[in-house]
Amino acid sequence: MQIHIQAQGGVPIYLQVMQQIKYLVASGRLQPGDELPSIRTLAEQLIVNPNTIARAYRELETAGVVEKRRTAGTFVAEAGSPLARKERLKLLKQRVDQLLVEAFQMGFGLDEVLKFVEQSELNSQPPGKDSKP
Amino acid sequence: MNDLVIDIKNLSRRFGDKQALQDVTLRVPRGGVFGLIGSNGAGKTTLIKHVLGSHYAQSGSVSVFGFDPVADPVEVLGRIGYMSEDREVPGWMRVQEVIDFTRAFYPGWDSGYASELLELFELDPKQKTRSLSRGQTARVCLLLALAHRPELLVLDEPSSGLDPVIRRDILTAIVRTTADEGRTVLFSSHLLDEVQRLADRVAILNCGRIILSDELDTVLDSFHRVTLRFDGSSDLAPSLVGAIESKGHGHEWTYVYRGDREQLIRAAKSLNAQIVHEVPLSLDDIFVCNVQRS
Amino acid sequence: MQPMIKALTWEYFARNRWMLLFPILANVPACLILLPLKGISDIDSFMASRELIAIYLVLFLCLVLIVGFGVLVTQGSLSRLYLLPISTLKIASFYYWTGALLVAVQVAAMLYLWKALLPIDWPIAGPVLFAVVCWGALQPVVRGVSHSLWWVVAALAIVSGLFYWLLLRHGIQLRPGAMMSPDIHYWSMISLADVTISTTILSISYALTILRVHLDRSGRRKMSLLERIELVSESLQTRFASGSRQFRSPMESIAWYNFRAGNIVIPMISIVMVAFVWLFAVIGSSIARDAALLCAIPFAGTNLAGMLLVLTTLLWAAIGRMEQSLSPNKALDQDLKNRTPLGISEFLYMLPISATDIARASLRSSALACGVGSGVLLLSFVFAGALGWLLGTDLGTTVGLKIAYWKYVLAVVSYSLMMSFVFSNSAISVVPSLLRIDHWIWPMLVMAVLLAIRTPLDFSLSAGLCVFALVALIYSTIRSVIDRDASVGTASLIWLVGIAFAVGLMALLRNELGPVGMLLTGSLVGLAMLPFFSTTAGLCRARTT
Repeated sequence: MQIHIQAQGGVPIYLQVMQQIKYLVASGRLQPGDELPSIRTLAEQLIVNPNTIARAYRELETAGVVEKRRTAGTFVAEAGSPLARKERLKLLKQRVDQLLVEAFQMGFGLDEVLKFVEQSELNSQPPGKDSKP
Repeated sequence: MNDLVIDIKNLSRRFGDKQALQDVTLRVPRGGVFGLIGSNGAGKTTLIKHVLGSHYAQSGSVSVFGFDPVADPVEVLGRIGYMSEDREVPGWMRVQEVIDFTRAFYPGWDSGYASELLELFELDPKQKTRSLSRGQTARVCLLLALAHRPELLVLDEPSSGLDPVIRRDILTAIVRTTADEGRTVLFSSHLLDEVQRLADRVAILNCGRIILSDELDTVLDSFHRVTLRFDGSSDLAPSLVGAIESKGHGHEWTYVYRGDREQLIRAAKSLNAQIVHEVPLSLDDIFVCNVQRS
Repeated sequence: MQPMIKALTWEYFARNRWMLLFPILANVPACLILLPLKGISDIDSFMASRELIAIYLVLFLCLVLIVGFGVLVTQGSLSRLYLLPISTLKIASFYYWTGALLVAVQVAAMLYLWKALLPIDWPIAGPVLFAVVCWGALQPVVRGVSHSLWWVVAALAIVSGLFYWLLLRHGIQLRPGAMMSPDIHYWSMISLADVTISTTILSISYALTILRVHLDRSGRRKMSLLERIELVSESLQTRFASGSRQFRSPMESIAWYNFRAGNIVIPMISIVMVAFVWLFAVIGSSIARDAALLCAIPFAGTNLAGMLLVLTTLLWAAIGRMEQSLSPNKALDQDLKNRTPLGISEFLYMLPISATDIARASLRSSALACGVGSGVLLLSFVFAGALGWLLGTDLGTTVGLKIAYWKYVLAVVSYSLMMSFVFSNSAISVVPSLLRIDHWIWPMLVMAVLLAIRTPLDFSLSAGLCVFALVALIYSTIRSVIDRDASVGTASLIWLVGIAFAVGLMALLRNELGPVGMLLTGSLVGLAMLPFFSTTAGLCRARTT
């Protein structure tokens, strides 16, 4: 599981962890039933306070993205599909918004952007799990 | 059991005509990581030396684990693992000798852990500490501070002047220590991204005074950088309640704002202004604008 | 003047503001010695007397030594300038010539001071020239980092040569019987020969100094013999280093630390000296085919070892105390903050051990060191005496002792034991007491009263010292009992042992020690007891500021 933390920015670290795990789940790189690393392991790997990781896991659990099992361990939720779809849409919307803002700033119209998206779709290989917007 | 590991009340300290600490009140609860931030010469080391009993309190009081560290050095120092800023070890000793020497003082010394760290840090036990590099010396000091599994780990500027590999060792040690229930870390630093990664609570020390002391999340949540767009243009920043810094010109002004968001929205509305941009502030920015202001 | 030279000059004076007054202080004893001369009516004939010239020569040499050493210390290491953009020539010249100038000015000032205070007419020009030449001649030896043994030999040769010159200029000849010839006189005229000698020595040594500094700055220095020996012993030690070490208690650990970090020097000196002396005795007596030498040489040598033992502890303590204040690279305030006695770093004070235990451990280690040191002396003396007895000669009469051999041995061993113990503990317990003004009130009063009723000076001074030792001891005893550093039982025991020791020693030597000797013995015992009561308090002060 690859997570990168940027401590220089103002975005709280637990939010960064949450967003990145959501992204990993949404993009399919984390499958339902996959086990997440333990709080301690992830904290040591990222060199962040374990409480921060614990908070991120807690909020992810509340959001239904992950679930805690009795036998210690955090797993990507099985029943996560509807929620995951919602999450996916939300993520996609963010990226599209960003794309549109930049396109308009550079002076492209909506038509041009759409045409460009279609063209890229044709040029690209059959979409893999990693299809990035 | 007292759940305050360190309890400092109204501590003041003067060296000659330099006021090193003034009316410092600091509470470090058990468990978690406490980050002490301050510029060079702000009094961090002086404060830490009070915790260790190297300085007596000129006025005010210092209590560590409920004891006075000056009167009771054995009780207090026996439960602390300390790594100083200078990272000093007697140069004439070999690495193994320093370890053997230090072990005699701590009943809780974990020899297995010590040799594990010795191997992990790639230290040669037969080498004289005088001939170690700066980084290896720091690792020896870290080993000495950790091997008795102290209840309180005190690190004074732990990563200053060290390469990223050794910094990682030290930060990992902090994470490990705090992951164990009930153990506390107090570390001072001016590398704020480290503090932001690791600390639960922070205190900012400036010119001998504590200017901010709270949970890190609370601190991060209560500062915002907002850009407001006003109807009328002005040469001076329109005054915004709770703003501590302002920059800009004409219609758009950017403020650093302290307080919760609801208040900000209300304040902006009363000025007929529109929030056009808003970003959270990093600890770095918070530190800089607080220190500049005071 | 160029800005760089200006800056260096400023730095020198700013850093050494107070150190430069040191020669004046050092000259107080000389003035005290010379002051009684004021009472002599026939001063002119006394001036020319051989005794006064001898006294003058000794005082003058001490003066040159003190001033030269003082300037050397205040200048500090040359190497700190290597990284500044200054040419090597300039660095060497700056140190060489400003040093020479300072030596000249200070020596001249002190000679004028003597002249002003006393009714004597001692020459100025010749001695000042001599001091400057001495300074210059030794520069190539002391500059540069490597101090191999060859440089020590060179320094000795240079000093002997200069000394010969000095004696010659005072009309003293190194011929048997002619040492104190009647034509002995002061160095009142600078002859052409003097000028030639001085110019030659100064120019050669100047060139050599520049060469040495150049070699040192470019890093082309050879490893000295001492460094090589250290390197070899280091690698041997590493090869045979024992595995891990078990200390049973924190106190044992600290005692080991103190012993290894400093006190080990004390017994080492004794052991090495005594071993060397015996080796020398065996070789010497077999070459000379004189069995009496086999015990006479060790006797003399062991005496020397005892003196060395005391001197090294004194030097060791002085170095330990001055070490940090002399290191030129640290800023002064940093220095004051980090200064800890015994050369203990912050490291030791961060260990969870009480000051009482550190004090006990450090007393234990220094007592062990001094005990072993003087024990070795005792063994050597006893062995020499026994050997003499076996050979059928009484060693005491052979070497011309006026008292019984065993008495002499006991006295030498106990004095060196006490003195080395006092000095090895001086930094943390004795010196702080010396620096307390309130401890000096009673001694001063006693001395004043004694001097007022025209008691001899030496008696008054030693009485003052004795009173001081007593005051300091009583004060620290009360303090340590109040602070519970020592229980009443322990304190009384130490006092009992101390008094018994003092009384025993005085009874033993009652015929040999005059009243002054008795007083000094008493003060020494008192000072030796002082560390038992004041070390804990000293450590507490050092630990918490």
